[in-house]
Amino acid sequence: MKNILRDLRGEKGWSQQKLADHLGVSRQTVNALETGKYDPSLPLAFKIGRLFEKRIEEIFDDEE
Amino acid sequence: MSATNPIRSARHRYLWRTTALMLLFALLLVAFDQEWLVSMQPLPPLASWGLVALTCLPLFLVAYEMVVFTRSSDELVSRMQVQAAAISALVVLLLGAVLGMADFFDLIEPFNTALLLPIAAIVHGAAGFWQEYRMR
Repeated sequence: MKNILRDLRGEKGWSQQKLADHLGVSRQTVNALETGKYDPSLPLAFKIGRLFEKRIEEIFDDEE
Repeated sequence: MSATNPIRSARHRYLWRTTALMLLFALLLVAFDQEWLVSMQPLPPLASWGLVALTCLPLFLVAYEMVVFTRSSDELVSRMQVQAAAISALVVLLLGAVLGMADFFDLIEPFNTALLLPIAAIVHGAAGFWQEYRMR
């Protein structure tokens, strides 16, 4: 699933580790999310949405 | 405090504890295969069951550590661990079936099924590393 997580993180000037700390996950998870290798669970997707003050569908794109 | 540290420490705990427990299991197998114990066979049933419990205790602790690690990890690590466990379970079931049939047709000596969980642990570790490599 495509997403704009890397862009959002860049806007905040955060490292992957910093974002991981905010989300309570590992840096490996953030990296897998950004590269589209891993799709987050619904609770994590909501957490990401709340953190960046955006709706889930604004961050994640499920279209091929 | 970094949120990653609990995940890292859980992984560290899992690795060293399972390694130590597997070594303990191997040592127990070697110890119980010694001449002095074999010469005492057959042992009273209660003593035999006691030895069975003692030998298998490290394996139960390994299984417990696997569950603890899976539940304490973040969702990606947890998912990779569950997938690795599924792969190792499948490998052990297939191996058990192949060895069972080979034994049935007298192709091999009876296989000590106590070795299946250590084999599963090794496959689980390898599958876990493979999952992590894929996610890099």
